[in-house]
Amino acid sequence: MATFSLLVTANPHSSQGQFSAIQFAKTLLHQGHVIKRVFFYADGVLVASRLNCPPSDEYNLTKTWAKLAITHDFELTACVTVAMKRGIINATEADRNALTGENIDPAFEISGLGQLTEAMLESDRLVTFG
Amino acid sequence: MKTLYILNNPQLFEQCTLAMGTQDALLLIEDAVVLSEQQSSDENHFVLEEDLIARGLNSGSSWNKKNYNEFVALTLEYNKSVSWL
Repeated sequence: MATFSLLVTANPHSSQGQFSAIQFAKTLLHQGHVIKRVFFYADGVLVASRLNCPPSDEYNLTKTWAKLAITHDFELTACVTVAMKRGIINATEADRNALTGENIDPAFEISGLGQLTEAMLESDRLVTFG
Repeated sequence: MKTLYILNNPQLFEQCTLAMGTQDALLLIEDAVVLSEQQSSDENHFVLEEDLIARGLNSGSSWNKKNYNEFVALTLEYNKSVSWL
């Protein structure tokens, strides 16, 4: 059994990377491996918004990540700097910046790049999907 | 140290293969799977079968096909992976 972390930089609305990352995650979990953390960076953080509303006949990436993370007990972490730049905000940052609301999906958290470094150090493998 | 190079952009094939050492391997995924129809294969060259099928390209290629189960196994067989973006 190996421990994986994933780095996802792919834009959920215009590239295949998020789908590839989910398929990779599902496959490794099925094989009995574990995930420590999925770290979202660059346009990848756009998947963390709970306001993402794809049409009902399209795949909901946000809900798929959330369900997978809750079922298999791993963390979904979005980089704070790139998330805020793209309007992905949690309650703390909304407060600090005098914004009217937060929009992060409850299954995700916002944190710093240190969480990526820690995931790399504490996992056997890091695989990037961009 | 054996590295698995993961390529999803067909335009970066030359750059990526230039960076590879003799022990390293290449896995084509997403749009880069079209390269398996254009470039000659090597024993360390693999292509992701699911992405080939999704593009109607599953026949004829001499490249070694790997499914997602084997993709996960490759990332463990090699010491680390580099996604060439």
